[in-house]
Amino acid sequence: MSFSFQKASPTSAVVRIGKALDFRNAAEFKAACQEHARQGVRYFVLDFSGTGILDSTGLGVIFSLYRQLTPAGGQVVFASVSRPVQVVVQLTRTYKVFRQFPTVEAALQAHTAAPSAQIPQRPTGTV
Amino acid sequence: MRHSFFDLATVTDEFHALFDAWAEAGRFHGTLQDESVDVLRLAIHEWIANLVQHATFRGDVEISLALQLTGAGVSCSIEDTSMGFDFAGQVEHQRAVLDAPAPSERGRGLLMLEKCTEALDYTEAADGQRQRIAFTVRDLGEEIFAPLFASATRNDRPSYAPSGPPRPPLDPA
Repeated sequence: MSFSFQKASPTSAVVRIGKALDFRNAAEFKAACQEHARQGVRYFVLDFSGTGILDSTGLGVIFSLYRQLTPAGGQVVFASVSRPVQVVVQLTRTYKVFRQFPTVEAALQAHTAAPSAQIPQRPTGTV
Repeated sequence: MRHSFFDLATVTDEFHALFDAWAEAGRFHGTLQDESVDVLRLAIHEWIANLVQHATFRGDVEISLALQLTGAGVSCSIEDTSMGFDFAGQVEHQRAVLDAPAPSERGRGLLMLEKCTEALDYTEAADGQRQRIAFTVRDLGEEIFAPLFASATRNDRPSYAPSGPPRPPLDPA
């Protein structure tokens, strides 16, 4: 496991992904996110600074979290996206689904400033 | 650039350490831009992940990676001692999963591999005892970032001629 959670408020958390989110730690990541969601977290900031690998399994569990949160008005956003992760985001066009911020602080400020305005549109295509 | 791996428990870590060393030594400079080096790493990772999670190996495990710089990019060959699987069938299965109303969180690996490579070919190796996947990664600029899953029509999709006898299905990567 390379990721770590830090609650920023009762309803928001920052997940520092670390070196990799892939088939090796995706199940653990999913379980940890679900536990935080059960505790009331609805706004997940995924900090990808320093992340070298985001593979198809890792992306899949992020989508799973997204589908779990969006009916309740929650969301998942990306922050400090590293180049390897940006390549995956571009390849899969998931920038249409997950809003990106240059820093974790910017992502948290956006949520604090207008939490209800940050709910993304549902994607129009299958990703 | 060649290397063989013999342990499924460590192959992923070993591969990334090796790839880091190749990249830091500038082995891809002049052939691939940095983003395309990331694509090459991702493509190899996806295939190794597929082998680790789903392949059945007969006897000793051996996964042999070979990269060759060409004028057009980097050609990659990965041979393994697994029993192989129905590659074309699994690609079609993954497309069907993604077309479902609520797509599974799994089953994108082969599509991602297909999308970010060229000349993708999966066959038995020449000795008949191994499986071999080969592909090329080259600088494509914006081309490589065309829609991955949403807009490809069947006519756009490559087909894979079956080689050898039918193989057992494999769970999607």
